[in-house]
Amino acid sequence: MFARYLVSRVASVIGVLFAVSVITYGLIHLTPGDPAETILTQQLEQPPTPQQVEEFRAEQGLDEPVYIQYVHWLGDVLQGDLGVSYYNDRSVSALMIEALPATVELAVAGMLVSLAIALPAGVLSAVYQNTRIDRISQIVALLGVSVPNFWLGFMLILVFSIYLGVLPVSGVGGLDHLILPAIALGTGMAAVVTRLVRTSMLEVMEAEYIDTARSAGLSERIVIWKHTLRNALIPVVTVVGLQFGRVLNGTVVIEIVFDRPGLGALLVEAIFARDYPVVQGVVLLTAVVFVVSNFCVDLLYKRLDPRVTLGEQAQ
Amino acid sequence: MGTNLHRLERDGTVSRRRLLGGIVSASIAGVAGCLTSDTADGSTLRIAKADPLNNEYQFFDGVILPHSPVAETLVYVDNEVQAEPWLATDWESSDARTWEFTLREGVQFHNGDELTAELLEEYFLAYEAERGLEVVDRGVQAVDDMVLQFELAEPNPKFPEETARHWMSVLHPDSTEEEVIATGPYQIEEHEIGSDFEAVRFDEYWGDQPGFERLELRDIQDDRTRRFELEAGNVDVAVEVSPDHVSAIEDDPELRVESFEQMRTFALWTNIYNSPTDDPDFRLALQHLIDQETFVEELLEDRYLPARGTIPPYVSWAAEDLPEYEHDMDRARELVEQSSYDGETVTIAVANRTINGDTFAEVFRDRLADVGVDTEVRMMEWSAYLDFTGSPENQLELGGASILDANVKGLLKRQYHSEGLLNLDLYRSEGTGMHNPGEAVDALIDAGIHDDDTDALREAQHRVREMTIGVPLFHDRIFVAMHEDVTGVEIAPVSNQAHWGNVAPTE
Repeated sequence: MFARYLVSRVASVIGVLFAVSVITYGLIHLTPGDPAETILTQQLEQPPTPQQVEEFRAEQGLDEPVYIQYVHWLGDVLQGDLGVSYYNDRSVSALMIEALPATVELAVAGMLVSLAIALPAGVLSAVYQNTRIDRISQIVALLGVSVPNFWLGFMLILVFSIYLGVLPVSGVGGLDHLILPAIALGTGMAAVVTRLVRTSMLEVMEAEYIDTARSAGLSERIVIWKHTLRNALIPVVTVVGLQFGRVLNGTVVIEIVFDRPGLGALLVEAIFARDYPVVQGVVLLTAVVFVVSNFCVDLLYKRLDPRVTLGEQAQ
Repeated sequence: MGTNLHRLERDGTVSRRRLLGGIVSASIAGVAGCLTSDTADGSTLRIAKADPLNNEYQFFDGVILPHSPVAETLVYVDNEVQAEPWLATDWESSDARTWEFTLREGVQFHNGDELTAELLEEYFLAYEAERGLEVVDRGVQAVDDMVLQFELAEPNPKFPEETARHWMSVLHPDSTEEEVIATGPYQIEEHEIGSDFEAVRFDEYWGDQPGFERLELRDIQDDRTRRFELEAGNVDVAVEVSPDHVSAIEDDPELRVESFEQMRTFALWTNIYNSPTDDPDFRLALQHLIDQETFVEELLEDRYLPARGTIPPYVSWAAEDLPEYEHDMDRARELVEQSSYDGETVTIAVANRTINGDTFAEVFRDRLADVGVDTEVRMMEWSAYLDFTGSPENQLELGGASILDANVKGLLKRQYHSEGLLNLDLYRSEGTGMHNPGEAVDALIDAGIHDDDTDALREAQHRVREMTIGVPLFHDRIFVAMHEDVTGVEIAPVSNQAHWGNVAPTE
């Protein structure tokens, strides 16, 4: 059963990645702007001559029809070659491998920050429903969703780096370099998850087995943190899993603000330069992360709720 | 069973608490450790800059060398945008096609080798073969130990000035992506591709010894982040801070801001081959919409030099007494009415990375609306902007005209000559162009470039201004913020060139 699930899942993954690659390739080619003009203008510090543009296009295969370029790219990808950046002549894989650790580090830290805020806040909000704690928690959640993370990033820098001088402004390095970007990144997601935990907790708290647990004499702490929260976490896990992709996207802005050389910064530069192979590579990688995190969510479902069987779900 | 379960849970809870407690303690210790390791010792010059070309690894491994303290070019560009000796002390040519550069005596590369024409010949030939850029055109060869000869495909009287460009930086032929060997006052100690670099004082440097023992150069793209790093005391110099931040930085008694002229003129450019900007009356109306002095005073806190023409007055052959057009909205309205403008929507293209570009565009949009012209402002990402403004559909564009070497005559050619790079495509394909008024101006620019006829260049500027090709707004400046205890920062008017070796702690 699980094997059949796996086969069906892999097939859908291949379909998704193929669709993502076609759409990305199509969209970036439809976007105004010519890689030859853009990249040569930046490299030469002046507009290129028509001959230079022609040579660049020929060298990079940009003079061929778009579908031929795509077929060539796909053929290379299937052989494990993501191509070479138009901009700096380096392999896309090498660029991504260099950038990936900083981004993963930030995304994981952002997730941890968001969970560290959201779980207690959501639980407290549900347990003390309609009290001052609940209202404060909801207001904070609303603010968290509404505040743009780049603005929050600058405010955090102002307070903790400039006024208090306790944390670095930007760059990568030790744990201290990670704290502010992780807070800026994780806060938005924390707000979403807080509200979700609260709602889910309230639903579970009304279930009969919770009354049973209480009547069996279990302490309120055990009832809430073990029986209620565990069951309330099932929908939360789904959202958190999907949010990981969102967190990866969020790193684009945060990496610029905090000057972290990660995938987000690489993608932004590649888009501005019309560096198609790098854009394709990063988007493909992001799609893979989305798909894998979804798969992990499914596996976690089973762990959290033994009634779930993945084979049946696939059917 | 129930009792055992409770015991296990209790045991588990205690264990998790201990684990969490351990993690928190370790984190605090880690943060504390990191915080104490990040202090400056005063002997290191820390520079933050954003180089738009920072990713140009294919040339110099992510380091823009002539902008950096590591590598030098044959010539430097002085404050009047004239070439002055740097690694070459002299240069000459009888036909502007074959150029001979006499190299400076007593210059050493970072690996200890003497700078010789032979090594440079080897480097430039290898560079040409590997990179494919037309750096040396037809050939380069060592005439003797200290004389290097360049053979060009076409005569170019301004070739020495063009060697100030970053891709003409002088490197040792043994340089690799991992190890840059040059001649600058600092030599790279540690540098990973694509990241910041650290350099140490080069004791055998041919010029004065640098004022700092070490140098760190950080590439920080966001101008706010550069400013914050300066304010937090993590860098000593922040190059290119936004003019919007200058006042706030100046309020800090420990910081100061210096500004330097840049060879870049900001203007509202007109496509003289598309309607309605092909109509001289319409273009003249544009001139009357603003007063440059007021524009600079009100929108730019009076920090820039108002422009009358494309060439800034500090260039020796800049035209003086160019025609002036008064701010006169009634006259502008009258001119629009008598022009061929028929009520269509006129597009003002602005690149979204242009500082205050949206504000400038709004000023023109509002003033054009006041004189009966309907406009739309299109903020575009850089690549799309290049695409659009190079097309025949372009009408008005807000942007800068700049040149990154000392060949300012080349700027005039690029902007206004039919064979100039902004006009070439459309001129050849459709017989039109973008800002090129025609043969008479072409001839004047050619005379200026090939015969060094500065009167012809001045006349060309007059013609362009009389034909109201574009509304010049201001000459650009670069703002550099620094700590009070740093002195000697000086940025050249092109390409962010700087003698970083001259920067020293305040006595």
